[in-house]
Amino acid sequence: MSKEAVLKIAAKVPTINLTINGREYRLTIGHDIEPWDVNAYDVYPWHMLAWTLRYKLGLKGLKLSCNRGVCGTCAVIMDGKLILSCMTLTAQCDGKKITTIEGLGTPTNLHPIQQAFVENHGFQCGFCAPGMIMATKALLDKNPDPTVEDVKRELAGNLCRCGNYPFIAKSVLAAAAKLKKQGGGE
Amino acid sequence: MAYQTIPLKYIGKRVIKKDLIPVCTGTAEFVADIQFPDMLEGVILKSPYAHARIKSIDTSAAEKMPGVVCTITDKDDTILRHVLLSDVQYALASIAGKVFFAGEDVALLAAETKEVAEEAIKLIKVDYEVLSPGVFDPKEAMQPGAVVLHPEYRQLRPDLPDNVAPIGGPQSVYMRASRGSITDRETWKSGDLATKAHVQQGKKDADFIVSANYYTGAEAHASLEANGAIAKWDGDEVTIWSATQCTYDALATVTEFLEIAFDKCMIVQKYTAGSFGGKGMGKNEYLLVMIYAAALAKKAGRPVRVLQEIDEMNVCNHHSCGPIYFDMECGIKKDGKPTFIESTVTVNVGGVQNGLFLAAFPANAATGVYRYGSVYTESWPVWCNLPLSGSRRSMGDAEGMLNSERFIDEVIEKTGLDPVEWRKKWAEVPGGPTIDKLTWYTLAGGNYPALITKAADAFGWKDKWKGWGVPTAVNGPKRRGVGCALSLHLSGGHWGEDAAMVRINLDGTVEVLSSGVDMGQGLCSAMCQCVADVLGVRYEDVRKAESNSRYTPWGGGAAASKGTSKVIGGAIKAAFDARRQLFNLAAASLKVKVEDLDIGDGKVFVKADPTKFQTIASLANSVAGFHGVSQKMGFKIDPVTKIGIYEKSLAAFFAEVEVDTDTGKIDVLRMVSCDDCGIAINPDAVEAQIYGAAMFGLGFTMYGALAFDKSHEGVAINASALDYRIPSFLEWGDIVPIIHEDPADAPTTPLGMKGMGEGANVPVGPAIANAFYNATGVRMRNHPYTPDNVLKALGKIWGVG
Repeated sequence: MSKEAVLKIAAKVPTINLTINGREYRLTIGHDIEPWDVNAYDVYPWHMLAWTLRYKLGLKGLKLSCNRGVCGTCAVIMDGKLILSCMTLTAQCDGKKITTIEGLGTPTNLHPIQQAFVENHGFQCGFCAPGMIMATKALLDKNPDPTVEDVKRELAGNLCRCGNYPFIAKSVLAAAAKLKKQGGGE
Repeated sequence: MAYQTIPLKYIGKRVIKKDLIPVCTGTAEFVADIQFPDMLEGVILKSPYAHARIKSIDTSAAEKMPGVVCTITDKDDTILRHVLLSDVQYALASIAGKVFFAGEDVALLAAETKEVAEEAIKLIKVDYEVLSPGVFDPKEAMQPGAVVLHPEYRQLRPDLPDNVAPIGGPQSVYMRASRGSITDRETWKSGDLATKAHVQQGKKDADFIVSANYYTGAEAHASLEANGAIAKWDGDEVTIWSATQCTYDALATVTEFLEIAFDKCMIVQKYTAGSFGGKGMGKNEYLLVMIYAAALAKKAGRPVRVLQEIDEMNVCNHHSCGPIYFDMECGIKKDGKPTFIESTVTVNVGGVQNGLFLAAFPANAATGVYRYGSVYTESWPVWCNLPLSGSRRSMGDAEGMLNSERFIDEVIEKTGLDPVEWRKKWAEVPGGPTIDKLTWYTLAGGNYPALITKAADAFGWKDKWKGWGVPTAVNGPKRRGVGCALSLHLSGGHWGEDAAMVRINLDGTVEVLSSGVDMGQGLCSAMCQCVADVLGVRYEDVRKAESNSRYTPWGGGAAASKGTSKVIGGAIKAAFDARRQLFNLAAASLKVKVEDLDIGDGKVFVKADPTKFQTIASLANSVAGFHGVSQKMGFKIDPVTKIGIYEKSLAAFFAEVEVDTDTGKIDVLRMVSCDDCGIAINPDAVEAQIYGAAMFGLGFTMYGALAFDKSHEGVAINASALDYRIPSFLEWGDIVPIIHEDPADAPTTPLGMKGMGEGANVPVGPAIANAFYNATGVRMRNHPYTPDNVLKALGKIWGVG
């Protein structure tokens, strides 16, 4: 088959374009395929963004817990807003810019928010950490100088079963101070 | 070697927990993050009925569905078997031919994707014969004429009321089903149990006798990490990636069910989210998930993952010991001397299990922590058509002391004495009796008066307390009150230390091999701190290996608050063994006596002349690397009384609440928690446990009960992640953590440390409950303290509050 023919076929397949952590992805989406044929398309209409990010794109820093939009564990930032990826269809995300925990910092080059959580005993088991840190980022992006009450209200959608809330709040305030010192941003 | 003599460079310091960078960057790999290209997804078919016979199962339609690889039912020449009352209790209900609670596992299926598996499992046709409506309450189950769940065991123990589970199963019927345990302070050390006459004497001596009946519901762990396991076979050997809290406990159960030898199974654990007993020891759904993954993987010939949803886990997993009843009676003299306490505990053990722990743990706690003249406690473990009771953070004690501590508040009120002063005076003292598994031990260490004084001062009790029946403030319908409670929980119990190995690498770094499991408590990092100090190396140069049933030594894992006292205790002993070997090597090489040497900064050096030294790396190289080891130990015996001796985790807790008597809502305004941990290896981690325990206990008290719906086969109607509330940021009031450190309080552990993560959870509930009484003047003997229950207790709506 000629290259042109392949491109012609590919053009007919609907795609979803995502920019995740600065990298562009083009995912095929199909609806005429039986669900067991997992490799036919990248995305099925019923796939949630969390599933696509974790299992199709391998971004497993993002954790999934309740799958019902309750716990905030799967929170990511989409076009500057905090969203729950377990309640968002991938098919709805065409053209969106998404930041996950992998897009913030790496173990050798921590983001100031991650640094603050590490230094202030921010987590016990850390299963809620990716969602909590993304929620913190969303909070500090819009309110660089939050009070404890702001933190409580804004992070109330992120559950921590270990109950580490006092240390989480301390970490968020420390992160705000760090970012301010750096000139208010990344 | 005197353990206390090492210089403490890292112990006691707020070091950064080693897993914080991985979890904060998302690089920590939990079980659900592990994937194989050809991995199948396994799902479990659950029974919709509470009590039914399985007449037949037809999987043909499901197996025809494209994408389905295999199913497992009782028709298989299966590796799963149902052993009702032995130590491994149950697997697929279809193998027993009966289901005993709604949500019991009936069949398994593996398919290419989760979507296919979930569709296909609906096509499995099960023909149930409903045997009877289920029985969902332990007291109802004991009534004559109640449905008998296991009639075959009735003839074994015709003397028992219906549905009472014989402890230990048919092999050990010599154990009495409801072991009464009794003691009085004069005779308990003789080893003879006192007779019930002693309690009679206590009744005669008392000026006031108070009796009251309490009820407590069953709490779900509601971990954020769902039950999940992945199994992969390599010939006749299986590897299971698991989040188990207890690697070797899991190994024993999994291999028994799979009927393979221990050496054919490797269980790997690296990251576990806070599980609070949900993935712990004892009999639980989590072990079954591991077994099912292995069974499906064997049949399919491909790796299989079984990953439950949170909703499914909350419905079917074991829960705390409940529903549970406490019938209490206590006598007290006018001067405050408690003359006796008597308690009868009636607890649901679930549909299928023997009830050994269930019988014992809440009954231990039901008698409380005070110096009573005599104590009698008995326990009735009862089969109901409900999911299993089991371990949950401070198993038995959180349930038992919620009731004993709110009950003792009623008793103290009779005398009119200040509840704090009374507790200070009558709390148990070291050397006194303490109870575990209905057996009496000697309490080693602990200082309640110091704990309660510190906590009361921080709380401002003297200013706040206005006397019995007087709220601290009233503002329209809102009333404020204060309350306190003491608690006692295991600190590893009578278990010995876990075995451990400390490997000295050729470059002078150190790897600790231990089966201890870190699930947020900071165990691995604290272990590295201790080993670093013993060997005089940097914290950064010590690593705790992930728990692996093939390579890390025997150990009990994370259970019973033994992490610090016993798991780290074992690692410390192994580190001392390595240290001894280093000293011997250095003494030979430097031609000095061992006594003349010291260790630090990665070197063994001569005390008198530190320029003469050998680095740990060079010593390790001289013998091509080596290990320090420690073996599992038995428990300590008091040399005088020959009775087992061990310390427990003590705590004192104060709470201030505001009750809205119009809406029934309770706000917990302030909590002060003073916890005894011997020494705080990492004060950050100890404070985190105090915060976490306060939030966990608050959740348990305020809304932590599964609502088993009798009209819907006993299914917990509030079990989904959406309905089952766990405390959020908004419930966090003010928590003041106080760490009480005195190594003398933990005399049987190296360095004098003890567990406290569970102990801190125990007194939260009763302190809130007692504050509620102070605010409203109404004793609520029910649980949980939800607005509807509160309004019932206040007489504002109809019902039993």
